[in-house]
Amino acid sequence: MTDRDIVAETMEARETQICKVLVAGPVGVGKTTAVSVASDTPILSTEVHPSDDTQLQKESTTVAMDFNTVWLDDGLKVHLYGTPGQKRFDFMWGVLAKGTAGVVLLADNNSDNVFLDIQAYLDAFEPMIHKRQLVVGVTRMENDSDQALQPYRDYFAQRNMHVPVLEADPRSRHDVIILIRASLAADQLGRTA
Amino acid sequence: MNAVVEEAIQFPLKVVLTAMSERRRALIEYYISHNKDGFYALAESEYAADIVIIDHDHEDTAARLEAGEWRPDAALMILSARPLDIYSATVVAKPLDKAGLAEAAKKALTKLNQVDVDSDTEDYREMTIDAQILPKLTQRPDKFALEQTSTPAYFRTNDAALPGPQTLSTMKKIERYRAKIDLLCGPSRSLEDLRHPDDPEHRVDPAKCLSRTIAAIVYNSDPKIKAARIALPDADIFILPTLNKVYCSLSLEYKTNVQQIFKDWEESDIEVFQYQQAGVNEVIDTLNRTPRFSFSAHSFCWLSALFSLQGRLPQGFDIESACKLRHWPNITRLELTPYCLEIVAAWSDRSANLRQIVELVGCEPRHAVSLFNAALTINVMAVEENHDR
Repeated sequence: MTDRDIVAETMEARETQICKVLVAGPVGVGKTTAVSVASDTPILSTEVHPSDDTQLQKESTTVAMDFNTVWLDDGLKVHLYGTPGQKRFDFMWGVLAKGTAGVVLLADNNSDNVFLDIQAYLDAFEPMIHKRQLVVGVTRMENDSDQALQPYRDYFAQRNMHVPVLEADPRSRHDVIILIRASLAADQLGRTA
Repeated sequence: MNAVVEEAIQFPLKVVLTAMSERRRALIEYYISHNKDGFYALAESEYAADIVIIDHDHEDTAARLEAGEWRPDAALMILSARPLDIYSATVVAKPLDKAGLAEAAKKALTKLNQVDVDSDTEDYREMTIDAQILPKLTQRPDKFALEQTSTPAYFRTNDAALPGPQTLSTMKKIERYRAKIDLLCGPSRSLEDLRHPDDPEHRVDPAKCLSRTIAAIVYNSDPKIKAARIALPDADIFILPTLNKVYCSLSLEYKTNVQQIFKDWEESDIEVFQYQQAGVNEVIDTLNRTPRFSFSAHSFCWLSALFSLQGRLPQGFDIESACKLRHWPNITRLELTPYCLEIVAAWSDRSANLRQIVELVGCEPRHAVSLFNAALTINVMAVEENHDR
């Protein structure tokens, strides 16, 4: 078998499935960066100069959504949507959540309100938690220690929620791809079973 | 537009980033993903990469380069704050900027085009075929690297005569990928092979596994113990449990080193020295004197379980026992094995034995066994008693 045969066979074997994955989280946690870094294709973004207190945090903010496409293994194509972080655009969360196969919730470990932020999104994405479609990526972890994730695991365990909690750097494609795949893993198992 | 630039835009250099801080890696990844000139693209794995990029100023990179871990050839790009006399590789001066990286891409591409074709004739012929097909594949990860999507390159063979990544044909990439999986998960085994609890070929006495010694120090040592040294005949491993750090005298990117360190040991072959606060300075002095390969203690435990057990089960373990993960391991910081995420999802969701997981996920038994072993070692896997027997 030549290289050409192998590649041709590989490409034929790929049956393209399309999944929708949402990246959510508070302002400045790195949603747009994560959506952007996940793929080599250019991001479709709705970034504008903020008119409120957000301008103290950063120069631009997402007002509707970010969008990108990511190819995963076996031809799985992911439509990746980033939600706006500001509360006043929270009506977009429900709009974007329709038909979602997975949700990646980014949590800022440096934020004093990190658990309040998480709670706000848990209320919005409750159906995804029951379907095992939500994964939490904890950003800005200073020491590479598994123990630092324990408060987050305890938080979900106390609420009897089965949510994967993973350390994540939204600037790292490796991390973002794993978060996406983790959010889809339960769904993929459902298809296999 | 000159030919090199045209080629760069048409076929961006597929790069893998290694031997650098997470921060630098993230910055370069960010640059590449936002880079409009299209000189670079991130390779899904080393096997699909044209160029390996390393940071000469990062920890032990210079020593590793000196030791021959990377061939200083056209397939190597070195980031450095100081001028380096390594003309065969492409050296990029720090501080990094867009113009410098673009210029480096052009230089690397020129060097790659000038590589002596005769030295690896067969591979280069096959590379030509790849190049005709690759544009379609650039946005689709190579199927044969599928389980390692976007995972940084970890393992390479110790054979210096091997061509660099840019000369690898698809067949070679497949071979190397399979070799890596064999090293992490062992050879293929059936569930029937694994059934007998004391079969010496498919079972291992946990006392012979270095991973058990390492995990005992990392997770269970007396809080007064601030450092420990595991002395092996040809290597040593320093563990600083409170700092979550492990330092190994040998690189684990070489197959021979892995086999040397993680073979089945008799207890008498391994010496463990433990240090309280008073001895920590001595340990730090030793670490400062000799370059070491550093790991997070947690990820090292996971990796050591994969390498030590090689897809075998611990002796006495009942294959029908149901198991369940207490929580998801922090897999963004751990070595991924095939079907890792699906197996973790399955075992997090339900209590199941190995056979049930293999059937549910559709993976090979060794993939489920390897994840079971690694999860057991880092204390996230709970094994239930089998009441049917």
